[in-house]
Amino acid sequence: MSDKLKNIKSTGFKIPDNYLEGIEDTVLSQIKLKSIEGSGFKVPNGYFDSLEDTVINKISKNEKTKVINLFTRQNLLYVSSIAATLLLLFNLTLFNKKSISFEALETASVESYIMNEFINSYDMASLLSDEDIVVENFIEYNFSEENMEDYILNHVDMEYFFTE
Amino acid sequence: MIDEAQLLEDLKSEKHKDKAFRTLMTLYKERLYWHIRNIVKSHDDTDDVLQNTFIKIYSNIHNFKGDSKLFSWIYRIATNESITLLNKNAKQLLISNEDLQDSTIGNLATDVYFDGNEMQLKLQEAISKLPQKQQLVFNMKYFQDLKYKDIADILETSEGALKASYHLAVKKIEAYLTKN
Repeated sequence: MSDKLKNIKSTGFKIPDNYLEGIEDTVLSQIKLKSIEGSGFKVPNGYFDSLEDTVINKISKNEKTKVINLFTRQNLLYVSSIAATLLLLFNLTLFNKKSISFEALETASVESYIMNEFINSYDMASLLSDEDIVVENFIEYNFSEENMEDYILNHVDMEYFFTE
Repeated sequence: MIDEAQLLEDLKSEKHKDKAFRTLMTLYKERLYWHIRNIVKSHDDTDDVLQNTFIKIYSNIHNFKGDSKLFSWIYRIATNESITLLNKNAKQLLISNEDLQDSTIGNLATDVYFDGNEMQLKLQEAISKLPQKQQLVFNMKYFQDLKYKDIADILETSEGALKASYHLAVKKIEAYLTKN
């Protein structure tokens, strides 16, 4: 062996710090990872068999709907609101020739109106013309005595009439 | 062996498009399914994304210029559709993407279409802790065994960056598996 070779004892190679300390863990974890076979995900049976047909059907359906775009929800809303407006207009103006007449009002409604509005007798008097007040209005009605008694007892403060 | 150039020509033609499209679907359906499934995790979501991907391919094939491989273009659409779905689901539930991931992984054990053992479940957990890009790279390399060159085309990232990303992902996952 040459002299030159005799003197070279070490390789000159160096090792990173702590390399050998962590080697067991490194190798073990690599083994762990390599041992896992597959992802664990499964696919339903027969899934791939019908896929092409499913997709092609979807595509032709999409192409059909492109043609019938006229009947979109938005369009239908617009059209129906216009139609509704027109209908309303017709009903209110063209076909409604009648106006409300006084005779159509129910007596009960009129009565409750008078009572609720607190129309006092002066207001009423101003509404009545002299011709309206006819003597017969007062004479014709013959109240029964029973009714009269009931009324007086229920509506009139009798105390007022009894003097001490 | 399918001649990709011929397939592309047929896809762009009026006359042969539908037949060529069916061929394309048959060719790619399984690979794309698993690519998507690794991202969105549930079968139902995968089914939605896969169908949307094919429909998008059908609608846009006339725009495909051929400046990348057909394969990369298809995978890119599938990847984007998957991420769009995840974002949409998170938004609908008013939670962050990370929270949605945690919840999804939490449900895996009871998922009818997951029959993984404890290790496989732990692996899914570990993957979910990675940043999104690293997850994509890891899944494509580890589960799908795609070449770095192909992954680079799909994700439009350099091979070097991808290799670094993958090794980092592996380290993190291994550490997670050892710790848990």
